[in-house]
Amino acid sequence: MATPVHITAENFEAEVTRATTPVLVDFWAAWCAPCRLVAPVVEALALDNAGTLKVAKVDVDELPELADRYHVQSIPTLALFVRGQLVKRIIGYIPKTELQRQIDAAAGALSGDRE
Amino acid sequence: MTGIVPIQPILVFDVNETLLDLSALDPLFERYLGDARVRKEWFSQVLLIAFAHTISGPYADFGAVANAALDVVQARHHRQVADDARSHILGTLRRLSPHPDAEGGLRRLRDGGLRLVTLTNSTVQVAEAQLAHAGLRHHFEHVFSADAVRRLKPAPEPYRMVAGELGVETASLLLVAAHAWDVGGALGAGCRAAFIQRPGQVLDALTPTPAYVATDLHELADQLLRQGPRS
Repeated sequence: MATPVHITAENFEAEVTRATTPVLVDFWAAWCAPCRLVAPVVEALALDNAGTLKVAKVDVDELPELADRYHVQSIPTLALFVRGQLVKRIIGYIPKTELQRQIDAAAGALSGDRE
Repeated sequence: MTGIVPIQPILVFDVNETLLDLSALDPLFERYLGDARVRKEWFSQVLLIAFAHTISGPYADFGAVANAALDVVQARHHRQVADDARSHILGTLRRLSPHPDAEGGLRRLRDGGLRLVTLTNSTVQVAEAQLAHAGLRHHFEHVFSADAVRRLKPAPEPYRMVAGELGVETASLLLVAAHAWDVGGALGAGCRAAFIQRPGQVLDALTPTPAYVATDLHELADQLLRQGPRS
């Protein structure tokens, strides 16, 4: 998937916890200025990693229960899911190359996650 | 910029009309100016003078503005408000009753773990007296006044001052107000906002819709605390 997926209450399980590829979930809100810095970074990651990493976006105002479930208290929070499990949490903006490195390290640590 | 924003905001409450009911002044306006409806005209005049001074200067505190507005309405209605009557009206402003939902709504918000402060155009002295009289003071960590930055809301400085004093980004603040101009000022300063639909208060089409719109503080608590309606 080359563009981020908009997560709803209905599609979260299918798009994230049952996904066959790692999924980077961007927890964000319209009023959050730092989230606007992160958005183009995750969009670029979605393009760069098409087929190997899915990027999904959760609006915490639309889905507060999802933020609660994963204990997201501040945004932007990026959560990396591998085989349905949250394996890495990154809070705040980091540059794209560093984000890619951290994702590769976390996903690579779980062998066989990346195709 | 810290680079992250808490999802749970700090609630910043306006005081006059949002928490306190100005209608207690109606009998005084009827008595001294001949018509209870002049109270709303007076408060509109207060806002008009306050906005004019905020835009063009020089700064005048809210008490001086309230007095000047009283001068205008008494002249407009061909009345003369004696000094003791003036003191009666402005003194009563410090002894307003809270809206019926204020105590319970604030208690629910505070019990829900939210931090509460106030930001008013009145001076801190007046705001402290008002909140103490209304029995609401204990709900708030701080009582902030725009007077501290000598620019009244809806100029951005008062909202930014609150963020600075609390050591947070403006996006961490959620203004709660019954006035569209206050909501617009807060949003313009980078805060989030909630509009309380007190009687006669409506949002205008030019003000961005805030994240929360509620009929009273209980409904706001329902929305913010993500609970069902109170039983």
